[in-house]
Amino acid sequence: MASPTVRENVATLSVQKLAELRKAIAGMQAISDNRGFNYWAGVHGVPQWKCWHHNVLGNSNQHLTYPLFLPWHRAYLYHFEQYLKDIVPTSALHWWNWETPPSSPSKLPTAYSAATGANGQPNPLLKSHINYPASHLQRDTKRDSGSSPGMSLPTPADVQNLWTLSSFIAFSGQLENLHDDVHGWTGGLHGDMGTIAVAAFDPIFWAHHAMIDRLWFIWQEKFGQGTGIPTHMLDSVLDPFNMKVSDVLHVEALGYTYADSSSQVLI
Amino acid sequence: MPDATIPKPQYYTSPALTLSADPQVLNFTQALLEFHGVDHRTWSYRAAIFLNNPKATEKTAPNLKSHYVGYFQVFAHGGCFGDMGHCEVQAAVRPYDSRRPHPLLPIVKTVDISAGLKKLLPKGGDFTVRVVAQVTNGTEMCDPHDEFLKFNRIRLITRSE
Repeated sequence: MASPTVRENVATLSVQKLAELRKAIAGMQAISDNRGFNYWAGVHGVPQWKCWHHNVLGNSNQHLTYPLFLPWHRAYLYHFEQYLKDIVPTSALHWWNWETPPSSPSKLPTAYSAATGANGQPNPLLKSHINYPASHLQRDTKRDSGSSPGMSLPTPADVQNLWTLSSFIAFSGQLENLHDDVHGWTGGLHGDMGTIAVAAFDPIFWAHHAMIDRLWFIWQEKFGQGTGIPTHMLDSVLDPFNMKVSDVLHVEALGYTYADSSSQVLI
Repeated sequence: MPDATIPKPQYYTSPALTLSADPQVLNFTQALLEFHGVDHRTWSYRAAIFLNNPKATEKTAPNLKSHYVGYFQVFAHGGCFGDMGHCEVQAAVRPYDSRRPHPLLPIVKTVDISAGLKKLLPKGGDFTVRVVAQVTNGTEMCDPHDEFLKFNRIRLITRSE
């Protein structure tokens, strides 16, 4: 049986793993059909609008919670990662640990902010091209990180608070709040990460959501993988993927896991 | 998007809500403020919440002295990229229509105000909710004149364990 893919912290990726990720992303960006970056980014907002966010209310003013936020995005990342692997079989989606102490300035990981990669070529993690002329979008993605008033990245204390929430509904809601903050800070006033419409076209979206998925993974390790998911949700279909909620509860069954930690030193 | 197209902050002050003076209620371990019917069609924004401070603005320091108790962030859709009618939420679902709900159905945002409420209203009483909303992001499809801060109900929930 093949070993699971190990997703790692982008800040401590080896030169080789970062190069694999960049090669795979660049490969997807060069494909204009339904294997390509533009297509898969377009599943989230423009033009397909398939993502799940937020809780909504029913007619009776009771919570009609649709907490499919975590399962849907897990299926989304799984599919995206498979297309990366079609290009570079050893590539993986790695996570951006955006936890930032209040005393430190919020910032993007170098892997995603550098203009070029180690090979001197343009860094495909910096931006992508949005190509949906029917939706009036034909341009490169942009970032304006840190420019939105009052926004900062979540703190370690914010993340620690997640481990006090034993209810899946409460955990999912609070994690989504942190998720919203990261989108807001990263996009800034004029960038693309800040709205559902175009967020997934920014390559850092995938590292941000790998972090979200990792935090759910850690929560599942702590409280149990099936724990707390309302029974009526388990058969919910995660459109447009050929998966139900019950299919995405165990990351090992999807062929990946998360590194506990990683570090490196330049010699 | 030039700065000129970013809408100015928008404000709302609620009628009075009540925190019961019943000692059992005041013994709460968690107090949540729920905002129902929140619109999320256009601009993303951050809404700062103040209790009993109807004059709070975006310039007001977000601390307990100013009665700030928390915030919610709306990660919104960024405007309509479709044809006419694309972003109109259907009022009712037809029988046998099993499609997923419209993604623009109004949402619920929840703010944990436990710590602030304990300190600001230790004996319970009436309080107003001031919402100061500032745009954090938008797209080329957002209207600078849009009324982005819209919701239809505020609900206080206290719990004790």
